[in-house]
Amino acid sequence: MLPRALRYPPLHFVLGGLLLFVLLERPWRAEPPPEPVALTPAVREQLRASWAAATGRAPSAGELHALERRELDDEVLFREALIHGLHRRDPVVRQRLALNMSFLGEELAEDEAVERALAMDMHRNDLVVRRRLVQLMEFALADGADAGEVTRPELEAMYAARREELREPARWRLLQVYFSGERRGATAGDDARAALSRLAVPVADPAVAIALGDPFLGGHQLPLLSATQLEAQFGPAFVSGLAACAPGQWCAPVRSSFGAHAVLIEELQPERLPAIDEPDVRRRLEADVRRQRGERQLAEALGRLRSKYGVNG
Amino acid sequence: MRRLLVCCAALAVAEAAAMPRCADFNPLRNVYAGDLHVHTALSLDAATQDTRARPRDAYRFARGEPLGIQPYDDTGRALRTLQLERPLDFVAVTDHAELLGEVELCQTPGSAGYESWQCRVYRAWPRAAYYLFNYTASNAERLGNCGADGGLCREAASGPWREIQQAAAEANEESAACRFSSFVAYEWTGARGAGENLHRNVIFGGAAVPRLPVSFVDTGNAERLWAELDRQCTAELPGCEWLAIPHNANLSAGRMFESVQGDGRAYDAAAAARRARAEPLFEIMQHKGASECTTAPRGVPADEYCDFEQLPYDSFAGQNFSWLRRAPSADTGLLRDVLRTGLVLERALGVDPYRMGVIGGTDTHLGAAGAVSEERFLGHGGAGEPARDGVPRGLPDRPEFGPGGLAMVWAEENSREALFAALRRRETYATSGPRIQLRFFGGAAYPATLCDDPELPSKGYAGGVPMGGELRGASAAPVFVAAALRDAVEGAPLQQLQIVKGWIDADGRPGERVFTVAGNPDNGADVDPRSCERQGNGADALCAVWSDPSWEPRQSAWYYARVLENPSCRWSARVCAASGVRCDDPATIGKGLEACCSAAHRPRIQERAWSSPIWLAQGPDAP
Repeated sequence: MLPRALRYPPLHFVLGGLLLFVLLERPWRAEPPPEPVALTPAVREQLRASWAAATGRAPSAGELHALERRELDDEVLFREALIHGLHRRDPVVRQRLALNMSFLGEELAEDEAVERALAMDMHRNDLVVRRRLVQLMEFALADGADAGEVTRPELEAMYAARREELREPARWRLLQVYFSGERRGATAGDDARAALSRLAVPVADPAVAIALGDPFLGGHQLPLLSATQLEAQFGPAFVSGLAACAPGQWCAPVRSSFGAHAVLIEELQPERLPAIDEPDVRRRLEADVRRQRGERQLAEALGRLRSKYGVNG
Repeated sequence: MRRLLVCCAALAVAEAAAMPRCADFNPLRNVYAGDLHVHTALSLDAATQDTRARPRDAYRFARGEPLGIQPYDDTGRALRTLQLERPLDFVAVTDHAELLGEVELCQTPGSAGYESWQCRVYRAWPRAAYYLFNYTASNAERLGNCGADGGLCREAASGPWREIQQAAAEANEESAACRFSSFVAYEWTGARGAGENLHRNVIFGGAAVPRLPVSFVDTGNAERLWAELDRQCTAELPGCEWLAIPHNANLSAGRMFESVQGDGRAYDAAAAARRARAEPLFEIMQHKGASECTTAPRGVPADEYCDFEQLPYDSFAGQNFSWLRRAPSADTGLLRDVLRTGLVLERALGVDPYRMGVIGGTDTHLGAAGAVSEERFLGHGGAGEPARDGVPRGLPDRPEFGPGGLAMVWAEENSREALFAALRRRETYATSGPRIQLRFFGGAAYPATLCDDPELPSKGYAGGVPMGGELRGASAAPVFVAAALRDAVEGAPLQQLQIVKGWIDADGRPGERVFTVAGNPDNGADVDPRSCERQGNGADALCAVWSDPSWEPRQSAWYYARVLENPSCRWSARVCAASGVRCDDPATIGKGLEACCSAAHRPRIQERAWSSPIWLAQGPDAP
């Protein structure tokens, strides 16, 4: 006679389940290593050929190695995406597979179309599906890295690295009197110089000064603009001509793509490097730090996956 | 006395003048050059061709940094680079929403929420989850309220959409320097039937944007897109503003702008008003051709400048399959037809659904925002020929494609707010690449001497409306002032300045006419396509004050300015010339250069700018 407790039916159920689990899953077995990722000769040849088509020459050994490595990484990420079942769940992949099936003339509901496509291994060969799954895995592996505070040392390192990019160029605020090359021909420059005798500082009435010359669609009283902005509006000669002008004095002729100008620099803001704690700078540096963390996390995760799939870094 | 009820312009000037933030603030407005149509590696059709530029790279490129273009060498460095000679002032990266992963949260293993019961439901029963999520979104703050700066949304959304928002936030200059503005945006990639293009770019005004982009998969037609954006953005998200810009009407086979709504229902006043509010702009030019007008049968035979950069087919199906190829025609839905249809609908409903200004863009799939120079076109790199194929040895793309155009915007300063307000009021124009400056005002009575007046802009605003505006209740012929200045750095001199008018008269009869108001169409200028040497003279500046001699009472009309450069070499002719092709010597026609000598090849281009129209609307008492 079994003890009363052992005759309790739910226990039989649990024990039976446990037995089945042990028999079927054999948990003492280690997880089998995944099939290593390697490139077939056909893929290698394809990489070589598409490089040659793009550049008109065969890739060097180093270039070929880089192409192959990228291809291997893509394959690793693709395999991982399949393990996570992204190919069944991602709406873009599903849509693409269903679309492919409809091109084959199959009128199926999406679920069925997707399953049929997967059974045909369509997801392995469709470039869009492949690229999508690789991209999803990249995002997944970088995910979460940007959380957490950005530290002062991180910020300072980024500030040092981005110094040149953060530098704000000099800017000029100008009043200009225009002498049209089109209207005045070769005398435009002389006319601009001659106007200097009638131009004074401070300017009593800008309209009177402007009326000494010709109308200019780009405007006569210009807001603070950088050399790049001035060059886009007046041409490169104008910016180099401006270099010879002192602020607060009328200066002529300054040549442009449109003729000559008498120019008064009303304000010159010199080039400057904004401080690390100016809000706009800080915001951009923090974004950079977070992105860098994501890139690092992705690289590390990819490194682990490479060894999992037997790919040599 | 002439009387016009002039609205909006003076008011808008006063309103914006109240809040300058930028060093370049100008109450009479500066012109800014940008690109609101840019794809990066987040668009799969770009990534599958090995475009590696991310949104951040596209923004940096637009600001003047060099950009790597595939192929890449052994150290991952790009073998080709591209750099803008002149940085842009603003850009929106517009990757395809359909490929951004709308339900990223539930799809990414390890991400927050992946194991939540909602996501389990989503993965097991997607259809049920669609309703569940939408119900939740409309009831709960959790999915709806992102806060005024969109901060909460940035936390909630993940993956590509977050990357797009972060890149835009980072590129947008918030200090007083105001050198560059960005917009969070995406492309809604809809189509009908056999590849009839319905694509739109959705541009958001600020950082507050829906948790995920509303895609074609979610919506199916443009009406539902606007309804979803009205709900998820305008209604439920404080500070969220949006507008949509349809593009490539030339590939829509007439389906983008019909006399009925996109879902087949007739327009009523409310539907017309909603469309006009949702879509204030029309992208008139990009890589895949221009969409202004055609001289084809029932087109505009009187306008010899119509077939500019036109594609020889009118749908994606026609692009890809020769047996489905149909040439563009009067009912393809090009700008002029659409504007005319708008006037007809306005007569019937009191509201014009197609009151659209114009804007240009590139549609680059290389992340190369605003790379519009004919000198170095590296190809579309997306839906066209892959940019990586055969670059050094032939034409980098289909010969009918081109480097596209620019979006030009008149705004008080280079800030998101000022630019977005300008897009809304249609104070924009498009160019086919060069940075031509173009002003266009319409009013009751501008003095004939305005072209010689240095105060043209202030008097233009004071006496009427700028491009994109509307004049109502005219009791005499309206007067327009159009003024253009050639590109200061590159491009040919200006040849002529035109005003294009379209109208329907009191009986509803349509008409269209082009007036040359300055310059000389017969100036004899040309270009030698073999050397790309330009010949003949043109103008630096063109200007005219013009009163419409064909005006009649009770006419509804639109007017836009068009300015043309002297002819110059098209990008394809430059490649052909640089490769030494001489069509009379077959030995010089190398592989990939056959198109140089085909009958369809257009070696010349007359670069140009088109202003947004000014409308002459009948007063509220009109029938």
